[in-house]
Amino acid sequence: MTQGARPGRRRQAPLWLLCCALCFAAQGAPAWALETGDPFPGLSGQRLGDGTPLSTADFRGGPVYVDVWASWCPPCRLALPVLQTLHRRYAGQGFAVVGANVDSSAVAATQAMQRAGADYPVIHGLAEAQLRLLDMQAMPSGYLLDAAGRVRLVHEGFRREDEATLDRAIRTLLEDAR
Amino acid sequence: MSRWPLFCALLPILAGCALPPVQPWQREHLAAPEMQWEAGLAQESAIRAHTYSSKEAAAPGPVLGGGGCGCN
Repeated sequence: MTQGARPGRRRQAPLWLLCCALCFAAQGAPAWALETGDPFPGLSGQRLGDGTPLSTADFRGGPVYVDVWASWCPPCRLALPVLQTLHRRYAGQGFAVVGANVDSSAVAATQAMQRAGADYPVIHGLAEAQLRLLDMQAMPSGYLLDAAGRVRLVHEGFRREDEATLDRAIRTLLEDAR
Repeated sequence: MSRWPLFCALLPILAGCALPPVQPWQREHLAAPEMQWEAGLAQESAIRAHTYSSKEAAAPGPVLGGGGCGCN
């Protein structure tokens, strides 16, 4: 009896292997990207510079631009002085820029901030799982959040001309909040 | 003939599809200058052109005369 069942099992074996391979393939499926109107999942880590805990949730209550960046990414470095300008320009109206740095070295991130003359708060040491929730397609990726923490604008990549786009979006958000 | 070898060969290929793509924030090492394929080649071809023009007494190319040791 046992010997008779073996050929049948052998015939099924390739099917099992195929199923296993498909299961592995399913693990690589991407998550849903954040869109306008979605609640921002939140990013938390340590503040770049002093290492104290810092989260995007700390800025809830006012409009925030969360910029996910790295020092090894040239468009990200290009964005730093522009974001600093926007941060300064609208700070009096409750707006803030918060960086979310993905460098493995905090030193590299600090140096990039210093070179750009930027001093807005930056979260460092983000967990991989937090970044996966954003399902970013490009570096840098920016998320303009309203006071309730909802995404109002997703901005991928950065060019010099983008300052006007961001400025307009921030002004619209601030006017809506009045 | 046993199909096991065929399926054993196919399995890693199919499982390879499961490798998640490199995410934008994971490209730190890939973004390093020494990892740039084209940049390295461009530099090498510039060095070769410089050596060629010097050794062949032809600067900036094989048409005009010139010379040099190729050491600067």
